[in-house]
Amino acid sequence: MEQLLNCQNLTKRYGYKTALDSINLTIERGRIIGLLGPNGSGKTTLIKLINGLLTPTDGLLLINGMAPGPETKKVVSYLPERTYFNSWMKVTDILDFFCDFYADFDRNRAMEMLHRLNINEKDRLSTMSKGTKEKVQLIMVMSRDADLYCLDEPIGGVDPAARDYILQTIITNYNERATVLISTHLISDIENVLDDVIFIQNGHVRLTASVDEIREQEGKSVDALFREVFRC
Amino acid sequence: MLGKLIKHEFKAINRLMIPLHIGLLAVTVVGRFYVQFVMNRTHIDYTNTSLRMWEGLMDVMLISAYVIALIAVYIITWLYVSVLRPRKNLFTDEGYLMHTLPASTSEHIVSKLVVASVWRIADILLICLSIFIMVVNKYIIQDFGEFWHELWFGFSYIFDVPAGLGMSAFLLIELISIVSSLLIFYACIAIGHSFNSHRILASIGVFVGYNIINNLISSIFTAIVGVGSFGSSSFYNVFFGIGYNNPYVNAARYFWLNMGFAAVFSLVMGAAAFVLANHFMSRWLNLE
Repeated sequence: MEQLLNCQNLTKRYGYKTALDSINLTIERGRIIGLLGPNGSGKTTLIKLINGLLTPTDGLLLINGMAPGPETKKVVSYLPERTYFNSWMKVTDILDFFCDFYADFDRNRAMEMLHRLNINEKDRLSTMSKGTKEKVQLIMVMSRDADLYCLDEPIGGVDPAARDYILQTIITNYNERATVLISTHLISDIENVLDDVIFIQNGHVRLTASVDEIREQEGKSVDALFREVFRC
Repeated sequence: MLGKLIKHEFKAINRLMIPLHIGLLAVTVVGRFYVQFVMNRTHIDYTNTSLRMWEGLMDVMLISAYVIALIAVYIITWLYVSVLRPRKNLFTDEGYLMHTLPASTSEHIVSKLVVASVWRIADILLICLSIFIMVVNKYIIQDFGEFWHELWFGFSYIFDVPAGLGMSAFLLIELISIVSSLLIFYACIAIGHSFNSHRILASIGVFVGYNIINNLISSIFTAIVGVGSFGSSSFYNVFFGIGYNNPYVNAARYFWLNMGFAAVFSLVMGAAAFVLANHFMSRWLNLE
């Protein structure tokens, strides 16, 4: 399998607090990976490092062999846990914005998904509910033909019906050369779509395994294993 | 990528700036009609002091309102393009979108700088236009040639430099200082927002610190140049033997020294601010 992302002794400290401690991790193409861990374990820090929103304190992070920068941002599609659009924007403004900046953005795919979820392109974001805004944002991110999708808590704020549709979209929309990295607490909801899981705790990788391995070797679901590993 | 960033920056900033300046021009036109009406008051009745008092009060209030409107437009433009917009767009939630675009940090800074500079300059020109529309009449137009003539010769008389050259230098330095001051704001915001908390306070702190250094350097320079150009046993006379007992030579020298200092100082500060903003935004970005 071809390597997409490689972390070598990746460390991030905020002052005296160590968020990620010498992480070594390799992510291959063509996988749907769950990045799982309790609050404050370093999931968001790792995703921010991948997207160049933070700079490593130490160690190396490479995407397609390159450190995060304008070149890697062309092939990484990122959904943060924040709603990041200006509230005055209409959906069409956002479509124009993504078309302008991302060569891999597929406008038709985005419009199709918007129609499917009954979101009007003429609507302003300021008139939408929080959940609808999250849907718009996810649609934009998933309408890119990226190599790596980083989804930080993508389904937290949307209703279960939309959640199913969104997960379905994630599975059907990405090509076999791309990888999806999903960080979430809602493990049981996404368990069925995952190929691999990465358990992360206190800045350390506790476990990397494929979901099939967990089911065969441990005889339990990822959700059950998570509850066991991270028992409070 | 820079062109696209500039395009979208204009799109966002124009949303406030265009209505604001249309409003300014609307107020100007209405004000101009009022001025015309006041000029042509035909009913001046010198026996009716009460009416005259009310008219006078009305005039003063409207003139004050106009002046306040001018100042407000200036301050809103300045504050929005140099502080509020860059902060919100790059250092709050919107930063998650902006900083993950396939663009470099310097492209982000330059795009903000270009659009903000254009609007700062347009704002100043539109305010001048507004004042001109408000006060212009046939006498001003008639006397304009004479006014310009006096300004031209007055300038070269006072500063002892050719007016065209001196005024161009003056305008150029104004331009440099607009661009440089924007960069300084960006640097202060970028440094302040690398802190984990109290980011706005930290940004203001950095700005205050910058001003202290700025004032210190300026006053040291003024002290040296003041001594250098006007004292009889002064710095320049002692070291260069120029301009001794010749006030005209000193005036020109003083002018160019000041202009040169202002230009170099602005350029150095602007360049340093660009480097700092770029460094802090790419290495120490710390979005909440």
